[in-house]
Amino acid sequence: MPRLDRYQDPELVDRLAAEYVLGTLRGLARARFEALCNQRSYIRAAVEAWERRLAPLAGRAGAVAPPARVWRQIEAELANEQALIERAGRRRWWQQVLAWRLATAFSVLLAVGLIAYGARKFEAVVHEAPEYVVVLENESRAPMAVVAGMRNPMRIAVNLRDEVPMPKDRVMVLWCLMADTEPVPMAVLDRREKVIPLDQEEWNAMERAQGFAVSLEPPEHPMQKKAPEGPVVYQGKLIEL
Amino acid sequence: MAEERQLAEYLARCAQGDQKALEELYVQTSGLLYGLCLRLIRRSDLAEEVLQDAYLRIWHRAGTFDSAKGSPLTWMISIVRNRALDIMRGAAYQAERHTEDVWAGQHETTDPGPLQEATLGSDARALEECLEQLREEQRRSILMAYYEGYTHSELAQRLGKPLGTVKAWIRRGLEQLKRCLD
Repeated sequence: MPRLDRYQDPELVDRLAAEYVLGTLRGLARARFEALCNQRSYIRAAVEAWERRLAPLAGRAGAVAPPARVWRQIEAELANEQALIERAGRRRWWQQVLAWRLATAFSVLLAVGLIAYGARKFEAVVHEAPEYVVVLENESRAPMAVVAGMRNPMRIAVNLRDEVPMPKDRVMVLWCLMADTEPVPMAVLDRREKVIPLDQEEWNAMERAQGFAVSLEPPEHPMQKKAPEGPVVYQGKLIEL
Repeated sequence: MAEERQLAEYLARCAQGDQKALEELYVQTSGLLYGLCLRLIRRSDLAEEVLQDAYLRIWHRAGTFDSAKGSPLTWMISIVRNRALDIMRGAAYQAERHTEDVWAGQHETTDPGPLQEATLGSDARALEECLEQLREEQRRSILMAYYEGYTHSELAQRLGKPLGTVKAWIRRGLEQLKRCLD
């Protein structure tokens, strides 16, 4: 037989609701009652009724104008939240793209990408069998660059095709796109061939990555950004070989 | 009441992401809510923090406000008071509070003055009349708890009465208020 639930007693609930709104229900009892209030509508109704009864008391606490900094801080917090939302929105867009690419025949894309890229060039950068490969493609899904991850020593090699224009007033930044955290800037691609040494932590991060992307960033502190600010021009999914 | 409708409209605009509406809401209500916080918490830095948190909550939860169920001001007052009482729950705050009795003494609540009709209207008059019908010690302990945030044991200490007596005053006072108001 179920234990009798004391919170089904309407008189008790009303008394607790009154003391909750008055503020004399404190500590653990307050937290417990608050949790129940969120679960049971009749408790919430009792609380709301007491809030209505006692609200007029607030009217004569005496108004005091808060310092101007309070509103400034609220505004700053809202601006900060807005930036976070926009960043999250961008990440979602990537994840959508990556999810869509996952649904396509990846091995075929990879093969086509590598052939189109030219195996000779690829070998020239890589020297050993890579464990991870990413074919970075542009908007029309033409392969533009290859990223290969090698373990001994731990490094990634990036090779840009000759067709890739080297930007003048922007810099190309290579990003590691993580599944559940912010993207990580890996390197500024200032040459067509680039080898980036990784430590164990970076290697582990790469193994958990969804893919890589290249964006065009303003030249100031391109590696200190938490997410691409400029347009993402190439991207591709990480493939374990 | 015109003012209540105005506040409800600001909340509806907040729910749609209109930051200007939050600013209007702040201009109209922050004095009242800050006064309430300050009196409860007694420390301006913490009162400012509570006020800031409270308006951010109001902004985020504006979409859950239901004007059919109650007044916007009542809703906002509850958000502010709950946030303030949360902060007052902290052990560090409690330790400090006991050393600040001088400050507290200057702000002790005594008899009610005229309620602000403009903001809370006829409800305020009704509450005032019902408070008048309570015994002095019931009214006093209820008002001290509401405005100064005293716990039962703090009230017992300040009023120099046994804990059980103070609890009974508040309990019976609240029961009587409810009968009178409903």
